[in-house]
Amino acid sequence: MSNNIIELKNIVKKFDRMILNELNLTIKNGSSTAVLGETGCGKSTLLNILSLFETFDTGEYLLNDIDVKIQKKKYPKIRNENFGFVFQSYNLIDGLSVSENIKIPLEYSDKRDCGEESYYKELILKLSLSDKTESTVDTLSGGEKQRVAIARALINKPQIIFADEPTGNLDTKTKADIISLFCEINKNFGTTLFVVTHDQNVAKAMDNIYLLEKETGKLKKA
Amino acid sequence: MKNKIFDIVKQADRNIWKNKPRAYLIILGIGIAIACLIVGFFIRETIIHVNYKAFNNTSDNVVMIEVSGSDSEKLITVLDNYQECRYNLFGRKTSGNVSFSGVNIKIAINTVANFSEVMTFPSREFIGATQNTRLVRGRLLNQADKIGSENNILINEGYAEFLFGSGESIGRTLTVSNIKYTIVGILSETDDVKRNIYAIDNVIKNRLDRAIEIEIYTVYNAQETELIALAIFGHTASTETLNKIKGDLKDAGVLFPFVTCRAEQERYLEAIGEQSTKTTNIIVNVIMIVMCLVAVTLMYFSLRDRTKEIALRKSFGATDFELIAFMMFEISLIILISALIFVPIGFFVGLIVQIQMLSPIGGYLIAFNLSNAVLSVLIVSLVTLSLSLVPILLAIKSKIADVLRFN
Repeated sequence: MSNNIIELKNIVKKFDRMILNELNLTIKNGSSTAVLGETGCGKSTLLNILSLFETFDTGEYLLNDIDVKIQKKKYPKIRNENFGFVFQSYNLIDGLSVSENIKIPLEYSDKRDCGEESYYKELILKLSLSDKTESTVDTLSGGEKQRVAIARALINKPQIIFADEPTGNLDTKTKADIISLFCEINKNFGTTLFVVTHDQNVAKAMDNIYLLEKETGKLKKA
Repeated sequence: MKNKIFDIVKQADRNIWKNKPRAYLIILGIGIAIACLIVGFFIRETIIHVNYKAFNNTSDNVVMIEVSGSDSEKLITVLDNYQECRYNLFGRKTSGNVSFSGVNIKIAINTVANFSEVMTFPSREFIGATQNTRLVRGRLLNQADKIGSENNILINEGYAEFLFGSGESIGRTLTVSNIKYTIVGILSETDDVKRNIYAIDNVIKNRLDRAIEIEIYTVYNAQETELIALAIFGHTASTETLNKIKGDLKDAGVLFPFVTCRAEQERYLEAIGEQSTKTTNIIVNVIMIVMCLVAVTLMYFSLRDRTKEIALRKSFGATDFELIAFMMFEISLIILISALIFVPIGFFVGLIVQIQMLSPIGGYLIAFNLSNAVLSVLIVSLVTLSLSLVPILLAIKSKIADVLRFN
């Protein structure tokens, strides 16, 4: 078994124009990767394909060395066990408390065990959410919301976190906090990170930086 | 599995109350729909009675009696004074919709819900069509029976077996109020129609030009040695007589001594006929509107608020089945809460409406019909669940990426 968590081989995705053109990408376990690119270059499409939210036309997508195409029925389970998501607009469920939002992925997990509660406590401590657990998410600031989203992404101990413009809605100071938080998660939890961003500062904090070229539909090491 | 169910209940409860104003609104909407349906059932039942009266305004009025306490013996004396109202009981206990327990007798003899059991039959075909019975042996009643001197009757198969120990009872006689009746036909029985006698009315009272079904209820004491009460479906005479019966019954401890008065009834029928149709239409329309509003509200909120949540849950590994079960359970819980609050309200309002509508023609005591409540809740549940399924399925089928804006 290789050390690659994800391997994309010659991925092609067309809408009205060619978005991804025989794109290749390898993401190593425990690494952090950023993809930069101008608006409309296909960054989100790439992220959707990686997250199994969208299909691709041709090519091969190996997750832990297994072709995902042959596991289509298991996509919900694969997402639950392997992926965590952080969205630009947080996508928290209003009306629910911080702890309830964080624990949503656990509701669909087979891995629930007695260690779950201590891990949850460790998480909220690390993300400075201890005093907010009973607050409803509507009352939080942007930075706090994003920390809740990150905690939710981590609660299932995923192999990889996909983040889409995680600092897009935040002010400069909070941005810096979130960036360092991502780095800490990558180091301390060993979670692989894959971030799509416009923000050079976010990208710089990652091990690998790629540029997705709109013209060619391919990734280029930056 | 136990944990999973507990999780679903917990999640549903949490989701219902996470937006309290919306939860109250939906509960109110569904609750009103349930209550309206129950009221609708009450009114529909009332209309049946009024229509029956309209159809049968020259025939029997029904005296509905509820007896309780220790005045039962006195009541029998009262009833004995009105022999013309009483059809004898073959000296045996008959079954019936009667509840009684031990020595402390609480008797409810017939209710308005069973009103249709006392019917007139303008033609022989009508017997089978209306009562869902068929001729098993012998023959039906005909014109010859009406004008003939023979006192011919039909009885239900079960009753024949009860009386004679077998269904083979054609040609056998029954004595009712010292008059001999000959059984000429046996009718099948249904769950509702079991121990009835059918006779041309003039055979019994010599007054009506059609056949009438007579239902007899008797109640004995715990030792079955003493007749305690009986139900009467008899002809009523003048207003004075009715009032006298009413007074006597009241004196005898009858809780609801309502006796219809034909003169008042006829005056009322014309007015209530039109009014009741209008009222029914209004009620039906209100129910329809409320139901639609509830459904539309649910669909709207489901689509607007829940699509993102559904997509989010999908992204975290929820399967389509889990999501449908989760949403359906949540809606079922809302319906249950609504039903618990609004079924009693519906009954209360329905009862008032029905009493108001019926009191001018006799003041019937209304039966508490639980099946109507169950039916109302079922109808609302089915409509709400099926209409909610559409937006839920649409939300489930929507692309996660589109909803969660990875684009």
